[in-house]
Amino acid sequence: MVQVSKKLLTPIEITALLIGIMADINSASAPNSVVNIAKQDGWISAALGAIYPLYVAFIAIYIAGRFPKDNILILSKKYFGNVIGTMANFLFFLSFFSYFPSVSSTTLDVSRTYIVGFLTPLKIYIVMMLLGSYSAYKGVKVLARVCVLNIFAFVAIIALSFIILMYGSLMNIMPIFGSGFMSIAKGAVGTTYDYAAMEIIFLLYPLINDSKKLKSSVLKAVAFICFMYTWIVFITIYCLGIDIIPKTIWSFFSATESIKIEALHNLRFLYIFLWILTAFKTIALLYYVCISILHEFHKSIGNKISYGVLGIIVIFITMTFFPDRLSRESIVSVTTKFSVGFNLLYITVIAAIIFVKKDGKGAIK
Amino acid sequence: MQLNKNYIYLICGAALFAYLRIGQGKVENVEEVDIASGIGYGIRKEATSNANYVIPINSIIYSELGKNTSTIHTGIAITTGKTRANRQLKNDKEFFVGTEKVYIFEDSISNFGIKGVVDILFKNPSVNEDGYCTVCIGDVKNYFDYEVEGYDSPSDYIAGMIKNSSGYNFFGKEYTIRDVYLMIESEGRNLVLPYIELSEKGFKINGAALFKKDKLITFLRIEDTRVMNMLRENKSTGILTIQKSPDQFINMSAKVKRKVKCVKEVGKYKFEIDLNINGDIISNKLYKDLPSKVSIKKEFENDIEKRTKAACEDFLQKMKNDYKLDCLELGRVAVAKYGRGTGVDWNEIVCNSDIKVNVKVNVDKVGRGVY
Repeated sequence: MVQVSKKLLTPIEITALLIGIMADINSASAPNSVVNIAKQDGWISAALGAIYPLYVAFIAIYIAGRFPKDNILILSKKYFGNVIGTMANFLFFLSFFSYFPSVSSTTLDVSRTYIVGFLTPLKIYIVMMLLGSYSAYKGVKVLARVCVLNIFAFVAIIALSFIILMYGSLMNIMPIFGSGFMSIAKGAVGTTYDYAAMEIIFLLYPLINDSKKLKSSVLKAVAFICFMYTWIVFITIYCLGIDIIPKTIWSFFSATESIKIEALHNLRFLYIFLWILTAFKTIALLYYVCISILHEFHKSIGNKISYGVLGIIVIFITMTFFPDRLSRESIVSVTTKFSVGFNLLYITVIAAIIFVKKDGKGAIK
Repeated sequence: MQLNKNYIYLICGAALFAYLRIGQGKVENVEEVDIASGIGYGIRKEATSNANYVIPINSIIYSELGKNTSTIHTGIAITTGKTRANRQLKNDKEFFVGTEKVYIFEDSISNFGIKGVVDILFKNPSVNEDGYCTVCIGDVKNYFDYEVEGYDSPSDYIAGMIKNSSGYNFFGKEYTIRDVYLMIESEGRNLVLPYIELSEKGFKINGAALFKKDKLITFLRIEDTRVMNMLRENKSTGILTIQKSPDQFINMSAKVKRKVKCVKEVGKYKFEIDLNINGDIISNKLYKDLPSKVSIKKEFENDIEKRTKAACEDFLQKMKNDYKLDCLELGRVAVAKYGRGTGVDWNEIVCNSDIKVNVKVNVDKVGRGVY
């Protein structure tokens, strides 16, 4: 019994895992994706974009209330039958898997631009996948602890970025609401990639040790991530202005360069150090998600060899189809639509079936 | 069996480590790297349509005797990137950026447009973004050749000059390459840099260079520069003076707070610049009893207000009619209030609009007494 409760996750660990999978290295370029459409009101778009994870959170809370012990893979087999359920689960797997190469290649780009320009991509991928597979192999409890530690990194990132307030100008933010409501709403669509992968909660909720606290921990994660993105976009526009942001690729790093400190030259190095750790953690989490979904299809997936094979597949896909930023962005714009669209449909349909059938615990028959 | 497994892990680990290490860049000693302390940019146009970029790098030679000296490696080529190839042909050390303290743009390249060289700096993440920028008149190589006693390189000296220019001449603090990136492209802003000249006596900041986008429009002499800086920068510091004769004068160390209001009336913009000057009297041979009598203090404040306002209005007339340039960042204020991306030319609008200056002077401290 003691063994079981050790494996279960505490509410704070659930929050950390959810923040961990949403906040990947791409959030350093979150301002770029909103500023093109929403201009100086991009930060409002970033806040509005949180509607998507909020919707996922409410569906998760609803389903978890009815079936606290069954994850979505079991539920879909139960309602769709074995064949269609397995197919739907495979698409669910693909929706997560599609983030894997793009996150890896973004991490590669950042590290090769800012840190280790002399290393070949393959070497960086090998280190990345070794770190990811090792921590994923250690299980979800270890990952959760890594994510809790990572939250401290985020808090440090946000706290230090308050110094940027000294270097920018409020004139860059004004006029507020000047770009019109339609542009702000359209800009919010651009943040979906940053807010994506919240659907991991449908695999995690059976693992929580106190299912009553699921609601608060999920909502806390959404609130934290919403605040973090809004702040990142706000402070970047505040510091650089909307004319410069499209000229940079990772605009948040450019904003942090304005903080001058002795010895380290500027804060960018510290930020990239924290952000690379974040990226490795996201890769480990994606590793865990992919393996744990595949485990439902065949029990043998989950041993050491499968971790190695997945790593090699990801490296192969990344090096073949994502060799540079432009090809990545053209693929990601398609795969994100697929992933987000499918995931929303999938969870909505299952929630609707549960609602109509009045199934599960506590349902009024 | 257990032992064998460990051996396999060990061998795999060692092989992986060796693979990761192969081909990694070797770390050079400081003596083997070209430590740049300043970069100059120039362009030489030939009779044909062709032009050559001339980019000399002022690099420090570290000597064991304790006295470091500097040298110049110049790259000349038809593009900015190709100058590196040309420079390496004449250089015994590896090219390396990241330690430069100052970027000097010649007037030649400033007239031509500095966007090409700003771009090559912007792309490279290892460039020192806190390096100061300035404009020089004439060949930048002469500036790097000039030896300043007690300094490793003249670049160090020039960087210090630009950094501390904000002391007594109302200069701002935004002259780093970072600010250049931001100012060239932002809507409603124009780049202004201090410019330096070299004479037998050494380097001197002789005023400000006004840019429109990335092209030089004109140079301002130092008298006009002081007034422009007062109207342009917030919280600038400088010296205000009234002099009647060589032994009758008063000096005030002033701190200027600037506030701009913008109103749009029937399609026309109206700007109002409020200068709130707070200062200490640092020497006074003109107004007797200034520290003791309120009426005299008021009189002095009124006098200096009038003089400053007249100087400002004089400058505004020059700006509107001669330079035809919004060098006071008024467009930025209008943009923040009435919306961005409208595609209008703020230089034209600001120069055709009504600009009012209000000056308010307040004497803060008078020192410890009157001698």
